[in-house]
Amino acid sequence: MHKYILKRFLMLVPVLLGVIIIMFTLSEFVPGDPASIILGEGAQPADIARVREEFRLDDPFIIRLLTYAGNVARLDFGISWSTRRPVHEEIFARFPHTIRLATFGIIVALFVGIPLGIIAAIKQYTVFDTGATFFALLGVSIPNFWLGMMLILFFTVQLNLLPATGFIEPAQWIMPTIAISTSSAGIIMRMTRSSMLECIRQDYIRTARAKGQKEFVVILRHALRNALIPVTTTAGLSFGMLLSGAILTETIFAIPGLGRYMVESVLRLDWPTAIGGVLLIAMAFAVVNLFVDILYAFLDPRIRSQYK
Amino acid sequence: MKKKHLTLLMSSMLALIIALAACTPTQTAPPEQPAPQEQTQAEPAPPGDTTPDPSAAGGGGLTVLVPSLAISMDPPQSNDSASAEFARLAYSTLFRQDYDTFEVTPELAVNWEMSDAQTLNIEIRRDVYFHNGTQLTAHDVAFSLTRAGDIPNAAPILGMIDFAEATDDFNLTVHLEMPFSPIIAHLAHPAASIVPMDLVLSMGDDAFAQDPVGSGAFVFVEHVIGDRIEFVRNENYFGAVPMLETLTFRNVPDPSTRLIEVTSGTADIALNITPADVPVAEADPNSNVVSRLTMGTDFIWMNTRQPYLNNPLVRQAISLALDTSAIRDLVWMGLGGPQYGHPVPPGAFGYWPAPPTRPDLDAARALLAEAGYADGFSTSIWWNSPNTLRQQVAEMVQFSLAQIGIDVSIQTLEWGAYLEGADRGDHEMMIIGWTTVTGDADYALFPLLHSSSYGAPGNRAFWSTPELDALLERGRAETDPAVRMEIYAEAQQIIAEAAPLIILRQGEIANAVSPRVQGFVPSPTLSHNYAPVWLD
Repeated sequence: MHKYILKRFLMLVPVLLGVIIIMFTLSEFVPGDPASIILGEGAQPADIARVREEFRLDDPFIIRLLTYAGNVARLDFGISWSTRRPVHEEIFARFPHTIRLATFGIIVALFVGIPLGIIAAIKQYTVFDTGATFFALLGVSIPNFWLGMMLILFFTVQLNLLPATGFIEPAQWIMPTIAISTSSAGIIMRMTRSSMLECIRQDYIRTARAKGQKEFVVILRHALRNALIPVTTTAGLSFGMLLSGAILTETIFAIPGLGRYMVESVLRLDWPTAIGGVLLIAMAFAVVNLFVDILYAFLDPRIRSQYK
Repeated sequence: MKKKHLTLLMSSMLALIIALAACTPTQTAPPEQPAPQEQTQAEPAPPGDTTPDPSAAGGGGLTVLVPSLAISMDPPQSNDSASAEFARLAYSTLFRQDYDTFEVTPELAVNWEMSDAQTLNIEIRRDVYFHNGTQLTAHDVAFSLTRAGDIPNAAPILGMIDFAEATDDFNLTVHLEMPFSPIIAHLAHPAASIVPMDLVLSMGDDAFAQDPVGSGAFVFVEHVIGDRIEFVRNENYFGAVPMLETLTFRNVPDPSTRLIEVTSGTADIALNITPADVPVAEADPNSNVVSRLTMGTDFIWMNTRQPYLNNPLVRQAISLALDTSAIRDLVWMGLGGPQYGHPVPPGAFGYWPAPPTRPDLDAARALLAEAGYADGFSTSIWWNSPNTLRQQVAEMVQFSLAQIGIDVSIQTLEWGAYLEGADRGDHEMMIIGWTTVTGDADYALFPLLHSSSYGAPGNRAFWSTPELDALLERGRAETDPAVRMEIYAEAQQIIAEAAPLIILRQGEIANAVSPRVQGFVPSPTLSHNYAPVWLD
């Protein structure tokens, strides 16, 4: 198990190297001169040349790529071209907000999606099933920025109950969390439902019932545990997506998160911050997936035995 | 065994929730203000009572919602308007534009004279102290101006400064690289803010930008990256000490959310609301709209290096075919001033009132026929995503020009590609804006229409004439204001006739302001004045 985890961590190195190469190559193809964007309108060519010189924009592509990769290996992510603050400061000022938002979002999605999925499965083709499916579909289809605006209109403008922006006080957590969790909740509900349907038709479930086990225990202990494997995968992927930034949610609720910041950075052609942000998210995504894989082992003895 | 794992999983999840909840950033609202949710819960009380007002003099804390925060807190290091606004509050400059009249008035300067068009002698006030207690001397001023003159970001404003030297503690001489008479207006720009020499030298530029020290009306307290910048008033300010005790700029990027925060009473001022939100803000009892015409201009460049557009008759025809007041009414919902044929906005020094033009499709068709294009031609217009107001302008141009037989295709580019393409001259027509931040005709005309400014420096029509070049050069060198007025009037007539650009409107900024806020005057260059603001 430890060996496996170590191996997976070592595999992060080629992943991150790949991200650096892809991002660097992409940034080459994006039109626009970072120096003239930094200096803004009215900049003289001589000043643009000075900024290009300072940020080594005229060096050959391969030199810049290798220098950057070397610096990253020494944990030096450079400075932001627009604010001149170190990239790691810019990113770590924002990443905690994104992590919190994503974590709250996935927790709510799990606590809503899994129970609804179970109910929908054990009461298949009843009102409960149709209702749960309807809400899942609604959750997936509603654009979260629109839901965010509607929540603000209702809870802030109409009822004056919740603050419209920010993500520090508990009262500020409610609306953004709802806004970003609906689509994950919908996906998790659908996944739980189909996975549960498959499980409750298995022979061992019939056996469990036949020997007189309580229905409650049959569903939760025998069926759900087996049904959770695909749900875990889905939840892990959803969490990764949430981490890579709920850009619109962050914009509407004025949460200084990483997603919004990275979009701003790309628009400003501030490549050190954009690439640094993508690196961090790639790393977070990989770690979440690793965590999910380890979770399998806890949930499924068959998988656990493979690691031994 | 299995149960253990599940319990472990559940409890670790719970621990994670608690840990995440606990690791919320420690920066909470300043003590002067209750936390936002407490404010909203106090709904039934009138808005004025929701925040405890500590001083009978109408002080207290003001929360301003801004579209973006200063990119750099070291004034010459960035040229975005949020950085300029920060500098205007935290620092002082030798001169400043009066907030009401927008005329240049002395701030740190006491006496000044131009010994020639290239040399400026200035005597400064002796009663000014930085926020750290050290006295502001001519050495600081000379250091700040020499330094700013050498920083590329400040070059359009201060690049003409060769160097400045202190002759004694309160006198200095500024040497310019060329004769440049609008220098006083340029020294009034926030990029020319005075920084403490010893501190900047000992801290280094980048560290100073994180923890800036100025001598302005407000003292910088804290910058929570991406979220807010906080100030307290400068009790030792040499000018009128602000009535507000604290001032907080909070970054709320979405304009509708900014407005909602003001109408729901959790913030005092929402800067720069959208034209569509203006009627909403006006109708709400919890917000007033405070707007002001700015030094900004929205216009369309016509690239004279492209076929058809190189013909002045064609450009005049296009000008005549566009109903700019209809565009202003539909796109900007009437926000902004009428167009005036040349880039110098009303209120700036050197503005020449062009005779008003009316859209005239018949005259436009006649001009096209005269140019030999009676059957029209095809051209294109660029707008930069996601500026959807410009997209609407492009659509109206397309519609209007179809009436005179010109087929316009609309092209969407992202900002980086937009500027790069325009610098190369790939565009035919493009929609853009310009703010005459110094309030002097030179800053509107030289970068936009001198032949040395082709491409990146600003002239995207790639148009000028030797006559216009000579006038613009004379305008910079001439020190007599009356003569300068004449020079610029002539220049603006030439431009209005040749029509290398179509002015769409004079900019206007609309802000939603809580009724309890008194004395807020928006600035034409968006560096607003919070010193006279008080809370009812």
